[in-house]
Amino acid sequence: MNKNSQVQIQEMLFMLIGLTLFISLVLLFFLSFSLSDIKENVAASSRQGSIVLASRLAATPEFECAEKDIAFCVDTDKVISLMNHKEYLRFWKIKGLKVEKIYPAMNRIIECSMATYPQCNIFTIIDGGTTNIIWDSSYVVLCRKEYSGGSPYPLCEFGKISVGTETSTG
Amino acid sequence: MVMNIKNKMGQNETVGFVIIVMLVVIVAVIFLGIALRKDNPNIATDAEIKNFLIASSQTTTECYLDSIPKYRTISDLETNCYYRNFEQFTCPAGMNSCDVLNKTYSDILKEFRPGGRVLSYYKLNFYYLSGNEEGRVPFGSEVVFGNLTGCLSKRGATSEISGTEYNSSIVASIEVCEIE
Repeated sequence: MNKNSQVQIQEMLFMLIGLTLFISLVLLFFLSFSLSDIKENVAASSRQGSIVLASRLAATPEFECAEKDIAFCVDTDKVISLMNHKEYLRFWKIKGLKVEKIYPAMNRIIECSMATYPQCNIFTIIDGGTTNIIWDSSYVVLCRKEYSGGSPYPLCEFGKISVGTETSTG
Repeated sequence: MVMNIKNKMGQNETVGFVIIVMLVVIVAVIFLGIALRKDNPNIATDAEIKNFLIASSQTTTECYLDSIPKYRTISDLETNCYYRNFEQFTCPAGMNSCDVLNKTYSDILKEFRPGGRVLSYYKLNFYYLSGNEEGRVPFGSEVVFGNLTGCLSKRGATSEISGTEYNSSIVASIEVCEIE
């Protein structure tokens, strides 16, 4: 009888250990699953933040058009002069910043500089380099002053402002 | 007799174990179902699509009022296209404001990549909205590309282009589907 009880207690112990191990494994599986989900959400949220930052940048005095009634308007005359003032670049805590013209489309990429402006389609304000950078954009209208017969007029083209952020490698 | 009691206890333990395992499996399946049903977070938001409509509507077109350089924006063409007041603007040969509107948006939408993703489908249309949804009058021609076959998440936005009199407005509406 005594031996029988001992065997039963042993059986129960094995059963409990097995069950605990099984439940721990299931819990571990779910934990890793939900953690990866959280990581994905953090990455998505960070990219959403970059998109919002890009649209907010377009509304800063360094970029926005003089015509306040035009929403999401970037003054490319300001952008080209900003490119020559590298001391401004540390204002924004970002790894990359560029403004691209989308429409009218050009058949090749021409970097904007004092020599090529306005016959160009990409203003690289902060070059993100090549490693671990994700670019997120916000659509804007790129306006500048043009002249025809001596009279100025605003010429607005469709484009986007992109912010580059470093990807986490962990 | 002792053997019978031992067998019965063993059977009880097995049944208990099976019940516990089944319970754990059911809970695991429910959790998995919920976790897998969740959509992948979409980087491009509806706000980004709306932002596209607002920004693109300010793009300068080739049509002008009276003389060069009084070039009109896409937003101006939308209003002009609705009222069919084609004589008001001078557009490139053989085209009116509705044609230029359609062509310009066709060109712009070819380059539209919300969240950096290529679109498998888009449909842009314009309508006049007077007061409520019942007073919705479409105008101009739709700009459509692709089809909705295999589309998992269709998204869209509308944007008021210009307010007119009597609580009415001209609205642009877009629907898109991205290639996953």
